[in-house]
Amino acid sequence: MNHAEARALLEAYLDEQLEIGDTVRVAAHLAECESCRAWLGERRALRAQLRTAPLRYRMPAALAAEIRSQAVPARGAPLRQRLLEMQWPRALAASVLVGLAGLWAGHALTVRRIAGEEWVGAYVRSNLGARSLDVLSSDHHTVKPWLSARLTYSPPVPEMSGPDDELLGARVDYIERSAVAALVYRHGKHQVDVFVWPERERPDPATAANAAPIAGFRLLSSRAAGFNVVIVSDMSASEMIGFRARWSGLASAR
Amino acid sequence: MPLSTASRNSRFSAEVLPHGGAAYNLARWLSRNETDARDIVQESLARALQYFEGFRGGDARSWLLRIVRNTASTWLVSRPPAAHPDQSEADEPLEPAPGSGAMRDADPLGALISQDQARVLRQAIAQLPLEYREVLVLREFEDLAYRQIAAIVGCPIGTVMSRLARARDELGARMRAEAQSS
Ligand SMILES: [Zn+2]
Repeated sequence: MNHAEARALLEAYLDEQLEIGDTVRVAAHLAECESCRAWLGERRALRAQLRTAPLRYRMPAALAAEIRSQAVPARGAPLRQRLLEMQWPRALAASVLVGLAGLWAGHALTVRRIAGEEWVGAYVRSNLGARSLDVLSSDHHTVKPWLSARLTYSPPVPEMSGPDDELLGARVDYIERSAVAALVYRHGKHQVDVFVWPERERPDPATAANAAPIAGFRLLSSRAAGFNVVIVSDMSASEMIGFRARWSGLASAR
Repeated sequence: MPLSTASRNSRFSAEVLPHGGAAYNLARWLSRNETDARDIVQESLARALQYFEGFRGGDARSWLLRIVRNTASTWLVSRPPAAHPDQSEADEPLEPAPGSGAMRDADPLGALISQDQARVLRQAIAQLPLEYREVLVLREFEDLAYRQIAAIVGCPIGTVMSRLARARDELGARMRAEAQSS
């Protein structure tokens, strides 16, 4: 084996990736070639540094715990699957979408809008489509930084890990062409979307105010801790009010 | 929950989740920040669970890392790196590559590395082009064979070797420059 042939195989020789025949031939060349030995010596020194320096990132403990809790069967199916199994009123939701499309078409003619339609539309689309959640986590230490990185503000993210209410994750929605944090919770069998954005910023909270239920989907708006809050769900009115009280209490306590 | 789902989940926990650490390290090096790395790992595991029926057994680590790598590449395309500057690494937990104890015994000269040198190396790796960075991380920190890396990255074995060579040339040059300047 001449110098050029050996040189081409030295990288793989260093990594012990050569078959036995090539390994023996490269070793024989190394015994008589000063230049290849020097090259290999430098590579070995670099590799020793790479492998002794602390350069491997360790998974944060919170993420490790979260992953385990999602996949352990004892706690039920993973969150994503639990979401799918929640049996959203798909037919109903589809009819709402058709209805909303009609409203939007009508809106172009009449310049009249139904209060709350954009909010309910975001809720319904998220339940119908694959993109229910962009970040899937019941830990506000995960959800909050994820939202902060994608918005110009950092919304309160109450964890609500009680038996009845549970944080499932979040997404970023566009309402009135403004990016809004949508926190997604479960209450019983219901998905609850909580839209949160700073007071005095777009969208205008009036678009959700005094909205009548749209095909069974309700809206409830309020303020908490300097933020506008719009809650959308298919819960009953009294469940909505109870949820809002619990959520606001936790949000204001921070 | 159907029984098949329960047994699938427990098989998934036993075979795939132990490689979560490797998944995180790869995602962290590819995205170069902690927030994206967490998201990529979460998304990759969700996909892995979804595709798990189709996994025929064998090298679960390579299988998962291939999913992480593909998830990260779509993720990074949709989010330009300029919007995500490297975060401070001061408080992030780092560890030496597995099996480094054996390396230290085999090569006592290379065992000594100062904190400054480690920092220079870390920055130099972070600045490598993505395709060099990924093969280097898989080879040095996960100790994978060329054949496994080729399967994860989806390129020929010869390409793995040439990218690795370029990555090491680059790092070697940086370390020599650092040694001369200090
Ligand atoms: Zn030679």
